[in-house]
Parts: sequence; structure tokens; C-alpha cells
Amino acid sequence: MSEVNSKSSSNVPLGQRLFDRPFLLLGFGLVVMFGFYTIWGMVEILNMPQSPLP
Amino acid sequence: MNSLVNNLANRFRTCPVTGLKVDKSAENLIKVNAVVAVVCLLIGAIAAIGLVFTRWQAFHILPADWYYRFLTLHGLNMLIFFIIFFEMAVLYFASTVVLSSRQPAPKLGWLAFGLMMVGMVMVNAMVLTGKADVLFTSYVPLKADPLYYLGIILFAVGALIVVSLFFASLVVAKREKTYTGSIPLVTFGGLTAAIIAVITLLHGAAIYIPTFLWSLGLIELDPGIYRLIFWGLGHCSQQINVAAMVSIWYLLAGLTVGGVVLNEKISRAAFVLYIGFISMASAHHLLVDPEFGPGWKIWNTSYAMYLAVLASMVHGFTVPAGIEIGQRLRGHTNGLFDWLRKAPWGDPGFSGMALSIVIFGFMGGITGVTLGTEQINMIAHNTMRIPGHFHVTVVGGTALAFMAVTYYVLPLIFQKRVSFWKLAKIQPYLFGGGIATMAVGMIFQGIFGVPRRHWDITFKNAPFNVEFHPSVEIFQAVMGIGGTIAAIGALAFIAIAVASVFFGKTITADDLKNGASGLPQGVLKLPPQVYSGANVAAVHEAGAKGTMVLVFIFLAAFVLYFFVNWKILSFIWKIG
Repeated sequence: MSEVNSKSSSNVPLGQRLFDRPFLLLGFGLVVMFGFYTIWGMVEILNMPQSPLP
Repeated sequence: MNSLVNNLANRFRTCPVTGLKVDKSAENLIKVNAVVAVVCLLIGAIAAIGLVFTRWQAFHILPADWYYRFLTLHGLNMLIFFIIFFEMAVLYFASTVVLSSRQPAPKLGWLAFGLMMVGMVMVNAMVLTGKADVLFTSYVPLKADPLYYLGIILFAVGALIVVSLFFASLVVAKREKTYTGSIPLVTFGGLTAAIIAVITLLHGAAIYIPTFLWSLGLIELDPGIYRLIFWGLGHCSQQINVAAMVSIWYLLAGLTVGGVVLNEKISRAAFVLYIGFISMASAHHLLVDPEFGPGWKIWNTSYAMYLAVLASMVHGFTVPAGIEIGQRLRGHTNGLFDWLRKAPWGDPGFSGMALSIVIFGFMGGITGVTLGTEQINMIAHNTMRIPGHFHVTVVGGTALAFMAVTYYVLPLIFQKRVSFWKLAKIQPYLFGGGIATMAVGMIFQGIFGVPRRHWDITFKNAPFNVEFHPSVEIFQAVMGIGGTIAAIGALAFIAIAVASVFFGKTITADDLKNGASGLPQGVLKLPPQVYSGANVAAVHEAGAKGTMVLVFIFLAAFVLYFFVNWKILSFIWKIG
């Protein structure tokens, strides 16, 4: 859809250099999801007080 | 050594339309995954017909057990098998064809395909034989046959292998310098889908392996923990769709009208917001669960999730604006909407993409953000508003985008002319119009409190009386008529795809030269992908004014729908 210019690495902006690293993005996605949704959610469930059922 | 070089050289063909080098082994994997996706779509569509005519109480054709069996069959084949098989084809395409690179391990690709096939067949067999009436969610303690869970695990392992191959392809393409600079935006969208797929499949492993052991009676499983981890799979799998769908929008915008990317940084940043935050939408399913505190709920479904909504709104602007600029660069510059009037509406690749954007954005996006608001969720949870919402995101958005791109995949990858071309031209309108109508019927039923996943809302033989507002019957008819039109649209698509792949005419150079029937206009004459000339600066300077008007219409619709929902909440939940 568009033309991507090739530039020497020294001229590539920081954001683009970060976006060019797929495994860094993979790590970012995993850490955010597992941290905020999964682990925090597990902590919420496991810390739930026992129900005082008769 | 020479034979190795020859083998590698023979693995590629050059696409006569795009000029891209296509690895034949990747091409074969794209073909088989796409074909099986269509078979799963057929299974899901047949089940859908049974469901529509059961929920529509005037017909109510299925008995209770078969209703839940069909609901399980429909959910799994549409939300998992059709979509994920197609996404595997998209990942192979985005990593090898777009980058003109080779598939690094074709045998592993076939092993993955085999695992996914075995898993899909096992799951469908268990469901159809009545050993897994547990719906798509298979909430514990509902228990299915262990082979059902094993089938899902095998399917997920196969999908994880394909995602790993996607990452391997990126590494190989970079090392072998098949591209320079950054990967193209379409591949970046594929990368986003692949990352979300890893998140999804890890959650799938984390919950389905213990559930398999639980079904064998080997361990205990907490229903609350099951729900938490399951939705890391169940909802995230639909976010893979969103990323794949948006990538297809960008791809089709370029192929059909020479759409431009307004700003690479903005579009890529929006994809990165998806990577970080879209998966947390899973928490919407747990908004009424008591185990989670408001901090967890509000952070995940509001603060974090709105970053992903922002990303969707960015794409919802940049794709149409890119189309507008592309059309203006091609000379359609009069007024605000000349670019839209002169668009190739008879090209199913274009019309399917355009309808997908409108249905996903205007209906799916607006309803989704509203339902995701914790207070409003209380009056909408587990009502028909929920399937109303996801039928305009996953079906009217994603499935329609997948259908639209198929009209380009058939000539460019299968090298076949599209069969039943006249039918193909109206198919996106049938399917998109039908789904949108059906969703409106569902949403209005939900507003009147009609529950989802319910066999009989007359509550016949129940020890209590439940009466819904009489207008519900009208909205059931709207749902039924829309669902029937959508099913006709889906079956038309399946007929077109099957006839084209197995009985279609192979494209020749003369077909391309003479403009033969069954070839979309973007294939016959690929629009410019890079523009030059005196008018380029002027068009960019003028901007995308027509899209800006559409954006404000969208905003007005959003504000109105959101406000009306708070108003409804204030009627129901009186304070003071």
C-alpha cells in the first residue's frame, strides 16, 4: 500500500526501531496481558474471603 | 549445491499482477487452510439456520437438546475453526507473499495443518454425537467427553506452530534481505495478529490442558478460575480477528483503489496499542462476576481497553481516508463524496471491505464500547444484545472482510477466475445487509430483556410466568429475516468459492488482457501503489474532507447511542 524508504539505522527514529523488533513487541503484549488480566485476576480470586455459609 | 539453488528457484513463481514472488509451498498451505475454513463456514452456516428458526418463536423448529448442540456447533465452527483456519492463511500470506520470502519449514506447516484438521474433526464429531453439549464456552462444571478437550488442544497446538512459522518467516526474510527498511504495514498487522494469537493460545493451553485432566477425573478445577483463563482464549481469539481484519482493509484499499497509508507511524502505533491492550477486553465477560474487585474490572475494561478502542478509531479513520486520498489522486476530486460515488461498488473485494468497515465501526464498535461500560453492562449482560454486538464485529466485520479478500485470493493465489461472477457482485450486500438486519433484531430484543443462549423464551411448562413486551415478536421477525438473508449470502459465498477453486477456469494472460469475466477490477488493472506527479502535493494538502464528515456522523451516532443507554439505565436503576 505504501512505499517504505530504506534508511541507515542511525537515521531511523527510536519508535520505528522499537516497532521493527517483533520479539520485543511479543514480550510487551505478553507482559501486559498476563500482568494486568491473568495474574491480577488470579490474585483477586485467590484472595477472596471464604463465604460464611451455614 | 546447484540442485539446492535450482530447488529454491523452482519454489517461486512471479505474480503477473502484483509482481510479488510467491513461494509455492506457502501458496499450497494458504490454499488448504482457506479451503478448510470455507468447509467450517458451511458447517457453521447450516447450524445458524437451525438456530435462527428456533430462536424465532413463530417457528421454533429444534428440540432443546439439538438447539444447544447446534449452538455449540455454530459457535465453534464460526468463532474458532473458520476464523482461525482463515487467519492461518492470512499469516502465511503476510509473511511470505507480501515479503516475497520463502516459507522456512513447509513440512512443519503441513504437520500443523494436520493437527488442526484432526482437532477440528474430533471436536465436531464429539459435538454431533451429543458428547459435548457444552456450548462454545464449555464452562466448568459442564463436562464434555475428554476427546472434545483433546481435539481443542490439538487444534491449538497446530495453530501455535503456524504462528511460530510466521515469526520464523520474518527472521528468514530479514536475514535474506527480501525487503528493505521496515516490514510493510500489512505484514505489521499480521504480526499484531500473530502476537495476539500467542497470547490467546497460551491461555488456551493454560485452561484446556487442566480441563482435559479434569474431564478424566484426575484433578479438581475451580469454575471461577476457568472463566478467567478461558476468556483469555475465548475473547482474545476474536481480537486476532480484529488485527487480521484491519490488515485486510489496508491490503484491499491498496489493491482495489490504490488507497494510500496516510501516516505509517500513526497506523503502526495503533497496531501496537492492539498488541498491548486489546486482549484485556476479555474482562468484559466477567463484569458481573463477584470474585473481581472494581479496580481490576475498571482498569481492564475501561482505561486499558479504551486505548484499544482508540486504535480502532484510528484505523477507522485512516483506512477510509486513505481510500479517499487514493481516489482523489486517481482524479475523483469533485465535492466531498465524488470519491465515494466513483468507487468500484461492483467489485466484491471493494464493496465487502467498505461494508465491513461500516458495519464493524458504526454497529460493532459503538455497541461494544457501550456494553463494555460496567454500569450499562448490568442491564445488557447475557441478553440478546451481546450476540447482536458480536455478530456485527466478528461476522459483519471480520467474516465479511475475509470474504472480500477471497475475491482477490482466488485469482491471485489460486489463479482461478471467480465463478458465478454476477452473484459474487451482490454477495457482500446480501451477507452484510442480512447480518446488520439480524443484529438490529437481536439488539432490540436484548433491550427488552430477552436472554441469550435460551431455547424457549415463552418459558413453556415453567413454574413461573415471564412475559416480554409484544414488540419482541417484531424484532424476532427482523432477526429471522435478516438471518435468512445472511445465510443465503453465506451459502452464495461458499458456492462461489467451491465452484471457483474446484471447477473454475484457470486465468490466462489473455483473460487479464481482455478483461475476462470473473476478475475483479483491481486484478485486471492494479491501481498505482505509489503516486507521483503534480497533483500529489495538492491532494495531500486538501486532505480527506469527505472522511472527516463521515467521522463526525460516526461521533454523533456514538454519543446518541451512549446517551440513550445511560438514559435507559436511569429508568431501570432508580437512585434516591
